[in-house]
Amino acid sequence: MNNDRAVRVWTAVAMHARREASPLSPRVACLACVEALGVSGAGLLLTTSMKALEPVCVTDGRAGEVEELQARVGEGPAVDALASGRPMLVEDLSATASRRQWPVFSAEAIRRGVQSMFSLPLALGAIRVGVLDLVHEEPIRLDHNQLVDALVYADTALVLTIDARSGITAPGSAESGDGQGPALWHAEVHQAAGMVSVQLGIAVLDALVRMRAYAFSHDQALTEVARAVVERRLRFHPDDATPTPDHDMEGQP
Amino acid sequence: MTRPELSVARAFADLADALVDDFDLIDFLHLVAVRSQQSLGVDAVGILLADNHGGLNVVAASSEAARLLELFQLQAAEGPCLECYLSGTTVSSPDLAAEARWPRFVTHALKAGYRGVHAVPMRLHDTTIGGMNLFTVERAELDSDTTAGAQALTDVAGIALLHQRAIGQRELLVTQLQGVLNDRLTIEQAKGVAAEQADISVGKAFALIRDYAHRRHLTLTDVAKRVVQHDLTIADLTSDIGATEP
Repeated sequence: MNNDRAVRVWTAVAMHARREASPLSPRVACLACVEALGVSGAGLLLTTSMKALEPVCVTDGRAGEVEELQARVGEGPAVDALASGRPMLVEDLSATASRRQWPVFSAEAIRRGVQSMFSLPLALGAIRVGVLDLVHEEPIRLDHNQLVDALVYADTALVLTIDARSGITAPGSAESGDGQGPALWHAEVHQAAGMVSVQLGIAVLDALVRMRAYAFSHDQALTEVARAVVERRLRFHPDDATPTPDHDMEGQP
Repeated sequence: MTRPELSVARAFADLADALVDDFDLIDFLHLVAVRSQQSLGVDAVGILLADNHGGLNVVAASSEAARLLELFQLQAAEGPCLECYLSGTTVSSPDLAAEARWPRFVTHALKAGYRGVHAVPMRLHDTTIGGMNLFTVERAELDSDTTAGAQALTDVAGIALLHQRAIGQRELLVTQLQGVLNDRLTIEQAKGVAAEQADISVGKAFALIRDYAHRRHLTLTDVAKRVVQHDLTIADLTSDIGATEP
């Protein structure tokens, strides 16, 4: 397995949580990311059921001002990152390209002392969980390793957000889906989430959360639950608090 | 090896035709997989890209059969394609029945009906970013022409990744890969939504989504997004079948 980086990032987040005696959370992932990358601040915004963005972690006043500004003017790297599902890396907000892309935001952000901004979407397919914004007071460039680290921190925040929404308070962290890489990125998990969203008439994110909660309470891997859904051995019903297997799934590995 | 339906030259001509100005990357990679399968004399082809967790994910395959997709998925942990990705060199196993490496992968591959497997690296900027995975039903060595053809087709897939957004820097390649992998998840979600709405398999749902995108000249990702958001229903996807089909 070639996941040294993921293990290192999860360890850093866990250490950070332990140091401040708090549970693992998206907020802790955000703080650990700022520490690891040496940027001046960060903001972590999560989408709410109202499709609005709610800041759950803002490391300092300046990052807070930038997030408030972006929400107010409705433009900025995070807005574009959320729309496209792709990271937006802005090494210099005063560059012509940045000023052309976000005329109001870039001028105002620079006035507030932010020159660089990296917006990393917390995205799973069409699902938008939120966005992690890293800001820095000077123009900086993240090298390849720093950038991939930052993306893995964002993924960590994403996993912890899904866990929190699924009511999982003691996350098993990097749930590895029987050694096939993080389960949340499995094709089958997303096919199943699409199916469950139709079964329950809910958004795909909520369907994923329901599946994750089901897997946790039944002590099964998310990938197993997904496979049962795709193979139509398990259906979720809107009226029931708990879904019913079409066939008894007890006793399966 | 089976006799190819198509010459490699013909496969390249088709791929060149598809590289129009605003081509849809996932759809293009799908075409690379299909044409590779048809021209290389193999039975199934997948294109896999590395993610930030060090795993490999399938972004396109010649068939969306669940058993085949599972074989690609398994190689996030072990298998010829992972080995090829990590080493940056071609990895061949002409006869899985006699293969001692990757026991878990071999068991699943044989059960799915595949006897031979080969993996060719996808390299960009001196970095291996993924690979092409070839499966044969019969025991099969790849001859040097086929290996060269597979490598050339894999290179085209890699170049398309860079070409789409005129990107050149390594940092941007990272974000591009992330974007492609995410687009693929959108398609998986849409397959699930359409499969459940129509009570069909996810493989058939993919064909519906893809055919609709082609008929309307839309990108696969855009159609998938709209299916996920329930902006397009199964009735829309099937409404004009046959109307504009050649």
